[in-house]
Amino acid sequence: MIKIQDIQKSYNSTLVLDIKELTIEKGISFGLVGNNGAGKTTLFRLLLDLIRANNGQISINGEDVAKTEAWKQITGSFLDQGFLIDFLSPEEYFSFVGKVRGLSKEDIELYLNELEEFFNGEILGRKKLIRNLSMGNQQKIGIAAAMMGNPEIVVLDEPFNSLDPTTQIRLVKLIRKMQQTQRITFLISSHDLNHITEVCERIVVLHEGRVAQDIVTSADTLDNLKAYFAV
Amino acid sequence: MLINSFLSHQFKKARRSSIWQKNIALNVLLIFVGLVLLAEAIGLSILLAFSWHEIVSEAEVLSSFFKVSAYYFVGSAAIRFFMQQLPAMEIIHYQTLPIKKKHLIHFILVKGKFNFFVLLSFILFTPFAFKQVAYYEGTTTAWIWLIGMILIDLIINYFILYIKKQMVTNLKTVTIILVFLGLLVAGDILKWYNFSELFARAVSVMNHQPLLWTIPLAVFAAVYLLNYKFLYNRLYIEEIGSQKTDIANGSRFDYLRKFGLLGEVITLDIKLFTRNKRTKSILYLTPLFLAYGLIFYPNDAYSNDSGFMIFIGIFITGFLMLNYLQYAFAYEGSYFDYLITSGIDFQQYVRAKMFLATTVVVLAYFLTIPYLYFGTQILFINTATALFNLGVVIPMALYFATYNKKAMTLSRGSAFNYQGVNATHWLIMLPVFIVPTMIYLPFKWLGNPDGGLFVLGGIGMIALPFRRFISKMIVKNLNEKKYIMAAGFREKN
Repeated sequence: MIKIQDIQKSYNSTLVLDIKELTIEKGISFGLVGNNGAGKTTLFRLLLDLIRANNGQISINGEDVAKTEAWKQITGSFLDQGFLIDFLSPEEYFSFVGKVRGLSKEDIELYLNELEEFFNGEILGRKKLIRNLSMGNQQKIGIAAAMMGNPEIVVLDEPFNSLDPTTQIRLVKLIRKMQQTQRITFLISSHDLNHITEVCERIVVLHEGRVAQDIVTSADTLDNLKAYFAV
Repeated sequence: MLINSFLSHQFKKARRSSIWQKNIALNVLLIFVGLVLLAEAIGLSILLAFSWHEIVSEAEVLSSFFKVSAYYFVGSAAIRFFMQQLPAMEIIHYQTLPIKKKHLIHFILVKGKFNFFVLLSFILFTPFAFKQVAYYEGTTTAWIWLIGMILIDLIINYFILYIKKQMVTNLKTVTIILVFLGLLVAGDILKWYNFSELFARAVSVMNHQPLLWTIPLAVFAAVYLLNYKFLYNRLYIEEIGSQKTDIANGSRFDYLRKFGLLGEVITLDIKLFTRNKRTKSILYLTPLFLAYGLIFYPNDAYSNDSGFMIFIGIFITGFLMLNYLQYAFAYEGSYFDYLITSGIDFQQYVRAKMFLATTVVVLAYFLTIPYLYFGTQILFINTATALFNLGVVIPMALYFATYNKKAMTLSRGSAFNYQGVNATHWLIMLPVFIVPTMIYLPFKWLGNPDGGLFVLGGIGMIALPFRRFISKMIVKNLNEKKYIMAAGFREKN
């Protein structure tokens, strides 16, 4: 369970994030939408203890993320290219991430085999370094690494970006499957309203750093969101 | 018109680059150093021009200078091979505009002419031309000779550019080129053949028959054309520039992995060093710095000054280690966000870095043992400095590395690359070199230099067991500074 309390973050005295209270239950898929500058990435960075909050705290399973480290073992994340070690080959990268997560070589292979469809034959065994792969393929690697080693929580910032249509659909399937079989809590931000309503059970709309809407996804959610953003 | 806007774009690019703006103090320092070097070059060239006839015998004032200039050209070819690059104007932006391809190429090539080395040649040869050549052979010949020398310099300039574009700069080609140039000079000194003599004679013949200068002119035109053709056929984004696709084949160090996370981090750092341009060029420079002692040890004026030898010892046994540790975290800046969210145990992570740094120092120390040839004193000095590096410098450098929050792009080479360098690095260099010398000197002045070495090495030994304690401090520092560091590393664009 993730608990966000009174969190505030400002840059040069401009408040970019201000959330009174937000609780994300275990095992749900949680979507975050909002225009550029709404604070989506800031919220994720605060959750992952990548930046320091001016106020308030975020806790995972009751532990403050800024003061403890145990949550790191159960949290996988991919926010941007800054999570990839680009001079490694995909295999080497997965092996490194896997080792850090405490997986054996066999575990890693097993996991990568599961993702064969998602990779679409473009990632493994191509003898290329990550830096020489396309953005889309780098994105696939980052997402795959984030979900490695049965994490409880997976945080993905705009995972559908730069993926080709086929892979986007496969990613939706993959996230659903992992969420159902392993009860992973997914936190996903996206500009793509279609995909986010497809994947997420609960959607929060951020506007200028505040929670503008908090919706349990239903059949009308997509239309409501479209109406909300069509200003 | 076109040239003007190209030039103004280039100027704006340089002027507005964030490195320039952020690091004004460093740039002022660099400009200052550059000006000092320039002044020294001018001074040296004037001094040479006015006293050359006193240095060498009257009969061969000119021919001896021509001979020396042959060596100069060989040396400048070698240095150029390391440092010079075709000015990589981002032609990509211009390629889709209706600008003729040949204009772009000529601009790149002509711009490549204006560089530090050509300027240096110009400075070195001009006073000699009008002082000595003009005295012996007249002003006209002086002009012709000067233009000829610059011509030869430009031939080398474009030739090196061409080879560098043609070949992949890897350790093999670097070695081949260096061995070739080395043999060229060594063979001359050992009188296997007389390349400098040949060069000097050719130059003086051409001075007497000015028409013969058309030969180097033709060579120059040919080399220029070669570059032009090469670029013309390759002016595609995927072929020009350094976006080569490298093949991943790095399982050589995989056996390290059985040491668990420690081994993983070490393997990662080794791959980082061997697969990125900037770190690779540090690796290429390392043998050169190991050979640094060859300049000083055989020379009594230096080797009797044991205070200076301490400095050299720290440098030789610590060069690679310092380059590794000072930027230990900055090198990993591009994926620092991953490192701090991955749950990697910082204690292990820091230990891995210390372990690798220790290996590097020990290795460098063993490689300097052959300097025993110049006397046992040098071995003692290097032993003491290596111990000091191990015990004191390693933890200190890593500690200060946590203060480094400047992003680096590792895909650029390291010669003259000051991206990611800040004042802390200059500050840390001072104690690293001065403190050991200060520890040593009082003993030397009291007439017991060996005692100084014992104390220096002893401090290193005593400090060794405390490294664990300091690594805890580094981890603490890392935990406090990680937000600032991560924010700095994210600001790469």
